[in-house]
Amino acid sequence: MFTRKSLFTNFIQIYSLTIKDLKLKLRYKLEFIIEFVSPLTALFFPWIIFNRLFNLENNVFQTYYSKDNFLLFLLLAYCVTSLLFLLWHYKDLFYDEKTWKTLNAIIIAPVSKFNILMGYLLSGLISKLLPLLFIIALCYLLFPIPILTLILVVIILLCITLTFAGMGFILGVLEIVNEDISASLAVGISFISLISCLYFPITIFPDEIHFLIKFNPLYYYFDLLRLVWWSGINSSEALEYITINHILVVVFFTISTPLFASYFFLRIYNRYGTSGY
Amino acid sequence: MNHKIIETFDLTKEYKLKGGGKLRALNKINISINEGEIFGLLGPNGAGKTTLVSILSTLIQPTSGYASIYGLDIRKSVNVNKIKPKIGLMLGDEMVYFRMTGIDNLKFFTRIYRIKDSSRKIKEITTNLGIYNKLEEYVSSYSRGQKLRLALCRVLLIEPEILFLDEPLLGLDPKTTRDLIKIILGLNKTILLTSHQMHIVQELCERIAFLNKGNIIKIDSQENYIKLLSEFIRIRFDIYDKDEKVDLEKELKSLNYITHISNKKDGFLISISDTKHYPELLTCLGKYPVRKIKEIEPTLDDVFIELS
Repeated sequence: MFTRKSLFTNFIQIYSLTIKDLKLKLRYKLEFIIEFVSPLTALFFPWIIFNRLFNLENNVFQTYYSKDNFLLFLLLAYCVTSLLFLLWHYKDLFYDEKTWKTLNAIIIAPVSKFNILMGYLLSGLISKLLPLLFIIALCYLLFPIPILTLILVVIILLCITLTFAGMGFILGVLEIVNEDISASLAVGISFISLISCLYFPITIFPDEIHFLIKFNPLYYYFDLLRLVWWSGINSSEALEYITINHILVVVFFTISTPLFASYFFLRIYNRYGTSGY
Repeated sequence: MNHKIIETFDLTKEYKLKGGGKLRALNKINISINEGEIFGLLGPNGAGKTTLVSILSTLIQPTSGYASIYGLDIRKSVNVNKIKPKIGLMLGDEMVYFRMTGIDNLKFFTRIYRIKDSSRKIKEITTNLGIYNKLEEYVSSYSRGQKLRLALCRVLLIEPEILFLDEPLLGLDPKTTRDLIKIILGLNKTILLTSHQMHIVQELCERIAFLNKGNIIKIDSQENYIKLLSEFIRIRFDIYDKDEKVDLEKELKSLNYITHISNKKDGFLISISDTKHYPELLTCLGKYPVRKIKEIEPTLDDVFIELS
């Protein structure tokens, strides 16, 4: 059971891991600043393509994407891209800690794996917070929505964060145990991201692979994020596209991914330990 | 009565080798360590010392057999959570962040271990270990001795009941080694210390185990080792004429009271089982152009060579 004391201990441990990681990051500050700018470059080509396509025909995608909202969706894609780093965050961190030979100090300490996941997650989020807030504020200024809808958008972004963190944590432990498996899985995750329709609507893909995309949980996260914001502007159109699958998939994977990742870390690490020096 | 804090039962660890096959790093190890004892684990590189420490400190799991700390089986994760706050592990100068300052390192570890009154303790321990004035600097700028002191501070700050010190004094100058030996002797904790530097173990440990290729060769008290040492007679001598060195070696090998022959650049280092063989040995050596015959005081290195 969680007591007040244990909650406080967990809070302090998460805080310590966060601060430690931020201090390590801030050792070289320019790298830290460049990370802010890099996701913007990912938006450049989709923006040019969409601009050209919508000038030719407004309903080119046969879906809720249009000339009126594609900029909003690209800005929201920036927010997700900013969070996408979480997939590689733990992998990189654990690789560093493994080569610095500091990982054992964390593993041997009486810290739960969930606290490690959360501590590193917060440090990553804090380092991305400013550009993320800036883009959300920009979206809000260009495409204003009711506050409750905005809160819902932030909740969905948190769900994406937790899911990415969980997936990243799994990659991270594999980086400790076996870098070959971790590298192979990283390719798999890149493929999943590619067919998640982050920058483009599902209709841009051939009909034959729509079923594959609909098996990808990330598709539902990103689609729901766009649709919830759009519901604050054009609710009738947005609600037409939101299904029960969107809600179920997002809720299920948001809860299960971080919990499974913590369990997976414990089982795999205990069984195989650190290798690859 | 001695209270056993750490016990291992047929503890075995195997690693898979690249291209198939297995390496048995530990083979059915059975040791016990009493409360407050400094127990030394001696052995050459690759003997399995770090593997044993890693298992006992819950970093890795054994392949078979088990170990218990305070009677708790370390294979069970429920027990691991109880054991972790009681143990401190120092793997040389590892386990500190070189990209952070000394003080940030120590603050981080006191926070995750929830150490009360940490500022006072940090000041006290770092002053005792002589690195208080370096704490605001990045660890990457520390000398090896300072890094080791910081690593030891980290372990001491978390106030463990059991300390695992793996090669804690490797690569240090004699003065720093002496300082750290004094500090370790003054800790009054249960300590498992590993080293391949025999003189360090000889100075620090009450009981010593010799580990070689994953097997315990001998476990005994320091007193018994000293007794054993007194039975070793080591003689070093040079030979003028190198052509006759081969013949002398052949003859030495034929003498059954010579227990060990080590070929040196200009001569030999031999061990004999009893001083009563001196006249016979001198007669043998008299037939060759031998010089600088001297008796060498044996060390634990010699015991190790004899035993392995």
